[in-house]
Amino acid sequence: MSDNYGDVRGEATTLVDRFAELETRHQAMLAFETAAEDGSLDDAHAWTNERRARELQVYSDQWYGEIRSWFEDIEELFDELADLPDPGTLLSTAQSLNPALSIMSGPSGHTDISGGTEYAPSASFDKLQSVPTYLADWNGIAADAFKSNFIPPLERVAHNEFEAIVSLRSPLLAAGEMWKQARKDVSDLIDETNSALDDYEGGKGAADAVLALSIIGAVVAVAAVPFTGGTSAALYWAIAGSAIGVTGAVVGYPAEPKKELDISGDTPADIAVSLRQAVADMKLQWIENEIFIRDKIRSLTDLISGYTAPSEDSPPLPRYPNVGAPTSGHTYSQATVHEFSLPRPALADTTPGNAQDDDHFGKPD
Amino acid sequence: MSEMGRHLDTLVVSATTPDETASATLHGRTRVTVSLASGYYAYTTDDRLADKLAQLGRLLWVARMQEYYRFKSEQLGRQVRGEGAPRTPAQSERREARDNIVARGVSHDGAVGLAAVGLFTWTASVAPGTARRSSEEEFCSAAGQAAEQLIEDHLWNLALVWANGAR
Repeated sequence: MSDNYGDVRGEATTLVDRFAELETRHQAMLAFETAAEDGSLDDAHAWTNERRARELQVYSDQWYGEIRSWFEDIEELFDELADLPDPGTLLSTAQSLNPALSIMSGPSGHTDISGGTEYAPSASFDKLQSVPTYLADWNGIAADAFKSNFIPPLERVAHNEFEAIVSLRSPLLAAGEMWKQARKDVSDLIDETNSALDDYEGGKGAADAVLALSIIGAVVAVAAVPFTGGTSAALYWAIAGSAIGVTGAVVGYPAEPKKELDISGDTPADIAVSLRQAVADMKLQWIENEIFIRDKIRSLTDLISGYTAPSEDSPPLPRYPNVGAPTSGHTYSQATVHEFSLPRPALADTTPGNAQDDDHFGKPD
Repeated sequence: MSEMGRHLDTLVVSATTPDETASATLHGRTRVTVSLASGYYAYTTDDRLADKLAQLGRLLWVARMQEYYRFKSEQLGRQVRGEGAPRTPAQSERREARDNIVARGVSHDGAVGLAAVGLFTWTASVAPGTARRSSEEEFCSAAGQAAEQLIEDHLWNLALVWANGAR
């Protein structure tokens, strides 16, 4: 399969020229046959080579311009497809999150389940195990709270944040992969159309096989990795917060309006009709994929913000606070939020002026 | 012009009879050259020559079709071996009409005549006395002329039949 994406507009113009040329010849053949039937021309089958060339030229001179106008919308169609988002930018943005994973790998290291990369223990956590020893001489309410509420969950929360980064990175990877495959689909569409025109030109019926959209596999494969990996992420989300159920973490696959595009037809004009339909079907698939990615981002951020889907039986329903969609079905769990970010210690905002207030340490007994 | 168009303009495919006495090569869309095994022409007859040409025509067109689908498969990155089953009765009628196109070609000197039905079934005639009268070179050139004329005739009729079969 050739890679035409670099010059979609040029390929589209060539395609329109071919449609016009072959349809003109098609119309000429119909006209010659009709003229022979009503007696205004002699039998075209018996013409000499010179006569064939001359008659075709006369017909083409008269009608080519009008016939070409039948196909000019195809150039506009591909004009829209020529500047799809750059997958490289999306993929490199996703990769720029990797250094964050190195930091969040915690005191004992961690594995990125989507790619299998192992991250070594992070130096930032080196002293974590020894904190109680260092603070042996620090006593009191604040010290007790810090030692029992803040230090023990720290590794677990870092672990959860690591997984959250992996999960939130996957939509970027999915979008990058999606546009990479979309470009390939556009390129394949041009090849398949040319092939259908080749068959018309050579007097051959269409081949059986049809063009399978590569984009469908793309998004499912990448975006679903952290959620359907058996015991990996689904289980992770299940145990990360008490309020999160396994089903709440599984995002459904994008709807699949059409997996295959059939570019064929008995005449060049018919082939153009199937091409227009294929482009529409392909765009619908892109929209489905983008909705899938958008919902996945929303569901993930909902989970991290402590909101869970209304029912364990239904697929997770993202909240749409920005568009005023119903959000009442969701339940909120602060415990889940604290699995991703520890509550801010009261000590952090304590000043000499408020230290003895009731919402800080209060007055000593 | 498509990739396939350029390929068909410049392709070279050859075929040889099973007894290896005669070969033909198609250059581009219509030009055909014919050659015979060394020494064969001196001892053959008009009828045997005609028989060789009929075989060559069929073999050459099969080779050309294989090349068409080989190149298409390469272009599309998937295996395409031939036409799919017709999807409508009109499509099968159109294919039947195509397979029954009768095309003819005659050399300039009239010594070699070729006819083909749908380019599947070929018949050839060599005027009596040709093998004795003409040189090997003249005969091969006449066969090439007849083949080229036949292919042009077929392609024109194909365009007519294929377009009108879609009505």
